Amino acid sequence: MLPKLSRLKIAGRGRRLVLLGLLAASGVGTGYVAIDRSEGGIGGAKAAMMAALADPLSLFTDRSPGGREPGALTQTKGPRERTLTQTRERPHTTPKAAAPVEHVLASVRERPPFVDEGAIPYGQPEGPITPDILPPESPGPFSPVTPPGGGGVPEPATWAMLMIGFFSIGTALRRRQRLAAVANR
Amino acid sequence: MLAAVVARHHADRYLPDPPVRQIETGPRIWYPAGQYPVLALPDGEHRTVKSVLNVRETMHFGDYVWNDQHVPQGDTWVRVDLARQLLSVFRDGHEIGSAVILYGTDGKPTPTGVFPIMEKQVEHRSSLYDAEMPFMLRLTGDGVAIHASNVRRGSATHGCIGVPPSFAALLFAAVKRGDTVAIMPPAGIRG
Repeated sequence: MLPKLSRLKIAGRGRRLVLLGLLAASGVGTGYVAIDRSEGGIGGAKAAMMAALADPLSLFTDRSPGGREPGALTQTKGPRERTLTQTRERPHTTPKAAAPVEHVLASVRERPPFVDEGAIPYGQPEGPITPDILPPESPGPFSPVTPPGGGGVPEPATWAMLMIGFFSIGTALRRRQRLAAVANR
Repeated sequence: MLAAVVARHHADRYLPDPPVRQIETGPRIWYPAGQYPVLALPDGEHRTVKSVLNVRETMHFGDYVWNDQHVPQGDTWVRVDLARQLLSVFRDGHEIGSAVILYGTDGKPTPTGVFPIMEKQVEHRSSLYDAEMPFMLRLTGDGVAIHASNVRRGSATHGCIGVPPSFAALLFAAVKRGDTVAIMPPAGIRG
């Protein structure tokens, strides 16, 4: 039934391949997979065939670059230092550890220049000590300058302004009521 | 036919970015008739395999294999193996292409399961990431797709499946809308 192999004018390697193919096709050589042309010799092909028949996924495993461990990659790109958008350049100076933290009130943005009082020896003032606190030389007897650090009681002029304001508000309200009553009548 | 021509044209355009190493595929491993092995899909379906490309060496990132000579026309499906980081294209039960892929990180994992190809776009610009994604094959409604990517070791995607650009062109021409893509779970996750 089978043709004689010697009659087929093929090389020795091809003859063995044909034999394998015929065995596989006839069902006699169960467990073989025919390879149409092999470059690495029969030995390597045989191992590949056996592995392929045992599990087709083993071929995929052989060619695979390997799996990725769980948790190997958590982001698509490498780590990158993030800075705030306002400060693109990082300051490289580190603050002194002992430097006191200065809190400036929001209403006072600028501080008076720091005066090193330790340089002035006690009991030996140089010239007038506080010339800025006193009001300047006024031309008249009445000084318009309010002394600093005013007390809790307002001046009479402040009281008067407050009263005038209240009276004007009351007048406006009464006038509006009266106008509305006239309009509704 | 027109689509194939367009795809080829764009493939030429994208060819300046060749794969790292194109593996020559000589022999193909044919399974004897009646002893076809089957591959299980995540949804429980089984697909018969008639022949597999015989890749003798380990493929590296950026490598791919394509050989559809003497393979008849037929049902095409794609098997994405996240555990082996491989993608295989089958036509009529014969494997015609395979490539090393990139897939999503643990923070943005690639979904597993069986998906039909919803949309094909030769030139696509991701609205989510504002990036070019040529040869896009959309799989899910929330943007997971197979597309061309720079496949390098240590890289990952935001959930998509990245393949080398020239392989993406071949794959794009080989599949049609509605074809099945089966994504097998990665290592460490079973079921």
